[in-house]
Amino acid sequence: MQDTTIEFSSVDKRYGQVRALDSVDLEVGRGITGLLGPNGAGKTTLIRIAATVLAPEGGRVSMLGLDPAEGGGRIEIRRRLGYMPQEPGFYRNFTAFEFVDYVAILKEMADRRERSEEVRRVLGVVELTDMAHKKIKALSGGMRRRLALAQALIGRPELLLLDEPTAGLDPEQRLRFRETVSQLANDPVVLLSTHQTEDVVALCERVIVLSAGAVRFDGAPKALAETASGRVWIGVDQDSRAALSWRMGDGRFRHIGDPPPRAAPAEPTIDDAYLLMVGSTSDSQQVSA
Amino acid sequence: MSSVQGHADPSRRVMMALANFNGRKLLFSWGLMAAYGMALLGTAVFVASSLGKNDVSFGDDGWTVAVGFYIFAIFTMVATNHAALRDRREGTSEQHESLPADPRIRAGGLVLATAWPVAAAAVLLSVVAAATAVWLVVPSGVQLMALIQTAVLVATLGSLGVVLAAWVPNPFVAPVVAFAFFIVQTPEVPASWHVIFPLAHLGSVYLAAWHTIYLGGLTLVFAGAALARSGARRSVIACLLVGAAAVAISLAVMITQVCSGSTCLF
Repeated sequence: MQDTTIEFSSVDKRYGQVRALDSVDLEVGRGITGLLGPNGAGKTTLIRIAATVLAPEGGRVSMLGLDPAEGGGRIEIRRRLGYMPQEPGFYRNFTAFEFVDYVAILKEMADRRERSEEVRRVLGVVELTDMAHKKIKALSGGMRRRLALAQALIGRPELLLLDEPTAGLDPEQRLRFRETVSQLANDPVVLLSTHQTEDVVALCERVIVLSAGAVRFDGAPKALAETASGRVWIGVDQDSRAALSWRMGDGRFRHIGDPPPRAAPAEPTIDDAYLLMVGSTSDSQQVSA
Repeated sequence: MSSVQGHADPSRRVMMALANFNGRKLLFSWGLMAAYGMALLGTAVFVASSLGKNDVSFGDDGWTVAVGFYIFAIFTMVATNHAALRDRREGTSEQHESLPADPRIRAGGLVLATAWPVAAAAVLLSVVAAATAVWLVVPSGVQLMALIQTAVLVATLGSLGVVLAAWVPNPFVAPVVAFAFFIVQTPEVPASWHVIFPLAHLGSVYLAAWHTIYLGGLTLVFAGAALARSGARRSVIACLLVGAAAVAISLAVMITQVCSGSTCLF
């Protein structure tokens, strides 16, 4: 497996007047990479381009060493990737097994026995074995999310694209999901889009912050937190000079922004850094760590 | 490495796997099972009402069989249309677009899936023919052709359901077309152009065979048109051309020969 699986060079995408991706350059390789950004940052557009369901308007994309703009390359990429969209659809009258079985056929698993084994395997990975023969319309939201992950895992993909997979899940389901993703066999390259910083801290070796269609940060989660170093302080009262502040459980205020003299500094978290980064509209420079 | 790699061109095998999957789903859908029940009922009524009669013919006594299978064929169209619109209805288009089996393969898998309802119809029609031969009278050639024609009609309307979904992807279209099939009747006074009606039963083996070819041609045209929606490949164009030629030739033969003077072979 090559080190770089996804390569975007000056990739642009517009929706009418809105620039969803603005000359994005990035490379994604081994491990789990988090794509962090607010709503409308361009995360889903980037993931959809990587999933070969959307074509960029400018720039060059290379996936698994292949060009998705070329027909043969696109099919080969599709054979080797798994994609869980932000809002996965289901055939509600199918059972969980039937749905994943159908996806397995579309993934060119024509042999029925081989396919059945694979469907059972992926349903086991997401802990839906007991629900295999239940109709999808009878499954809970969390189970459906796991089913969406199961269909993406069919065929042991080399590249797994997960678009906001934990959206709408309760804390227990989110933890279960994290456990599943972190235990994935075969070590695929995972690109995980989210706006939940906890997912990034828990799962990712690397994080890319996307805001207004541009890459704002690319590095380790710890390095992202460090970008807020010296810009987080604790006070007993609300401070109007802070870019953002909130009252904590102990009654004190946590402030982020440019601290006043003699402010009591606090250890920055990835949340602080993320808020400073995406909240700063004047900051157009990419930070690399 | 993906376990699906290494297949030279798996599209045919995938299409067949899809056909089997969709075929089973079609056959066990409640609508088609109900329609099959109607066909069974029509067959049972025919057999029951014909027992004890000396002079039995499908033309006079077999209308319950014809109506039952006509309903089955129309429900096959509605069922294939419903299945073909599944991605649009359930919002799965995007995730399926990221998979290697393209829309042409998916449409092909659905067209071929009509073989399952056709097989189910053929089984029951064989029972009709056998029961008729054993208990009633030996069916004539025309009567046997009518049975074959009925099985082909299931394929024709099944393909029509897929092509409607491909070109007019609206869930209301197939039910409207189905309703039209029920209300549009052959006019009282026979005319040669009536051969275009799918249930036209012609009074000679020769013409009935041409009508079966006509239905087969329509099936190929519908299948080709459904596949052409996602790109006109050589095999798709060939399918369309063969189908169109079969339709044109069969219509020409039937229209010129079905009516001789004042007698029409309906």
